[in-house]
Amino acid sequence: MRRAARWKHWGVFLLIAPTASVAAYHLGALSATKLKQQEHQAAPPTVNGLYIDPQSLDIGEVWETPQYTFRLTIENLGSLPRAISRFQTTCGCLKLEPQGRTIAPGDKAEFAAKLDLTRRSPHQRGLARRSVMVQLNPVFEGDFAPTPGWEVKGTVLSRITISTPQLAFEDRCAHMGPRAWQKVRAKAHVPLKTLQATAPPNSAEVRVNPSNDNPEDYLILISPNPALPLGPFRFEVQLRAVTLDSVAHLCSAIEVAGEMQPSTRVIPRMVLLGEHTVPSVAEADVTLQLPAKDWKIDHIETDTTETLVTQNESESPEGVCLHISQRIGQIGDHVSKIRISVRKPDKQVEIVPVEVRYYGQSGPR
Amino acid sequence: MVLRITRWQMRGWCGALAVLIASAMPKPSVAQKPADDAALASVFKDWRSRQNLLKSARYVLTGTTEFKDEQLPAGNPIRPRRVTLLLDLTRKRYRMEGSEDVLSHNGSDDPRNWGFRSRMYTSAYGGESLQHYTHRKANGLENDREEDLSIGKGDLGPGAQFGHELSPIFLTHGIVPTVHSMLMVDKWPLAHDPDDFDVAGRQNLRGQNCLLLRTEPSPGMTSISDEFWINLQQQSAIHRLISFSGSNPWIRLDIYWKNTSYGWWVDHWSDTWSPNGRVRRIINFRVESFEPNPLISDSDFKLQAEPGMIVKVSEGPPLGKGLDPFKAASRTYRVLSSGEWEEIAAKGFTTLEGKELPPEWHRRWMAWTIGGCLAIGALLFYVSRRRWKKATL
Repeated sequence: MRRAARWKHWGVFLLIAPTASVAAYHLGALSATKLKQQEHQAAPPTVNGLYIDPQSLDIGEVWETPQYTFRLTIENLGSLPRAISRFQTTCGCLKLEPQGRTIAPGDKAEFAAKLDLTRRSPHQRGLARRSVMVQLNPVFEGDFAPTPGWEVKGTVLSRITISTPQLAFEDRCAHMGPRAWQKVRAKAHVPLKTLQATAPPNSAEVRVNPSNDNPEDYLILISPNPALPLGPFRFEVQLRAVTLDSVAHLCSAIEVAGEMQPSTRVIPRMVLLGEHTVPSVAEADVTLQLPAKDWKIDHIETDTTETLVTQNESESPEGVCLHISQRIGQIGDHVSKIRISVRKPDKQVEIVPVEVRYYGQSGPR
Repeated sequence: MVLRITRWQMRGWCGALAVLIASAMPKPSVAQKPADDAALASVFKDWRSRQNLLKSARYVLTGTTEFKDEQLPAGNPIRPRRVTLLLDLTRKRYRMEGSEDVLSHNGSDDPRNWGFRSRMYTSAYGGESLQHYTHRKANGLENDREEDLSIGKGDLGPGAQFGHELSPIFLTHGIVPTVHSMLMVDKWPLAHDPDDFDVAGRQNLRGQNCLLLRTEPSPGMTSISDEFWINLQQQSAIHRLISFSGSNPWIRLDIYWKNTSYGWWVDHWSDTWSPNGRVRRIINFRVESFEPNPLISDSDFKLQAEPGMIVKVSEGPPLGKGLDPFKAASRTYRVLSSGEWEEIAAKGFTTLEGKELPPEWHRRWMAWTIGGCLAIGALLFYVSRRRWKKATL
């Protein structure tokens, strides 16, 4: 009976001691961090006599939004008027209105601040809670460089996080051609009724698919509209988290960019002939993918007589085969340009550019 | 590619009409054509088969670096290089020893003072740490205060990548780096998401019918993407790999294969590096020798610290803990003649706000002190409670 009790006590001790040690380890580590952090207090908030209440610089805990607004009051505690021509910030996410102002001694000036809280560093991707810290430096009239100023800080809570805030389609989209799709993964960190993703009208098709495995995960599919005009495009897909109270919160955005290509495509996108001895001839094949059989090559132009393009008689299922023969006549990097004019069924002509790159070497390799 | 249009614009009635026509068109599915899916599945299957062919491999590579800079020092701009690479393909470890000539500016802007300098290197990854020898004497760094052996632990960061000039060796083993999964020393790209690839079509390259795969661009200041030229008849051997930065093909690998008893194996290759569209370096490599399944041991992947050496052990900060991911904590040691390591310097992690934390051992010391006090307290409590119980019985 007595023996059992002793074992029990030792057992309890053996259980407590490691747990207590582990707890103490973390407590110690935490206290060391806190102690160190306390040593580095923020600089005094007065800059050339200008003062901002530190409380207004701390936005506290806020939800992630691209348009968080707050007001800053700058008071001139000095004896001289101070003219701020503009503000410089450590990230492009903070904007102040008005951009500059002169503040007389004893006066106060109000500024409307707008902070994009959706911007995050790559290492902050996926974090539901993160700190934000932006340096706000005034540039005084007559000064070239900004004067170290104040620190706007706070903690950002995310309703959702996304795998990437940007999508680059580059040359993947063909005008009136098949749609190119890209995906962004989203994770909800609060209970959601739904997730809404909206692109500007007629710019893209956007789908939001909730995951079957995990109700917190969503797959956002974005495809630029093939009817967009030829050339570069850029738009933003805004994400709204609809919480259980049916309120839609604008909480993130995906920037989409690319360049709409002609409906006729050349494979490969760029002809890389590589390094060749001068003088010599380098050759390569390309395939012209036409949208339909009644589209025909009208003519082919080159920017130099040293580039020769011939059409192979045999047509592959991939499209029309073209053979490029490039005379390498000069040393160094060179780019030749080929323009293929394609006649559409409606007799209109579409120009398809092809770039040929090569490097001329001296002597045999 | 840098785009200058800041917002999307509809361009008049023509655009509106085109939008109407497009909206009336049938909606295609997100997936690629079935034939493309089948081709992609076949490529992935071949790459997986390559991954399982061998347990280990040793390569000796010899080649040259051809410097193509506008200004160069006197001498032959084609310089020799050599690499011995030992791969543990089961446990994803490696050891690499090599020598190459590098362009040295010798602290001068005048090319007449520049020169080519031989550099020797040895590195290994043993599953837990990445190690490098400085080769102080061989590399002419006698007066440098650098460490002789550096050891990296924890999150090794984006810098711990294999050079692209070595990619063909990994491609042979079905380890295919892309912009979405880089070839890191501690994380080899073994599996890929089919959605990251586009089948662009088929094209001839040096008489080979190749399947062209393109990776989805990875966004950034300038988006980056890859283009693979693959011969499906040669176990999906990659004959050309181009890395694009925007529209600039900044790395081009042309790879030549030969048929061996293990299948299609890399023979030689050229790696052309063209930043800003201009050729700057051409690296040519040839497999001088290849040893399949050599006997390996743990010591092959651990660089030894010899007496007298200065050893720096760095630890990458854990992500998501509010620590600057680019600033590692480190401890520096001197290896004594007895073989013991004497600590001579220590540096802690740095927070995202730029505050340097005390080195880990300080925190550990404090933690153990508090832990010890708590343990003693618990013991005293136990003893006193026992005595009190005895007294009351």
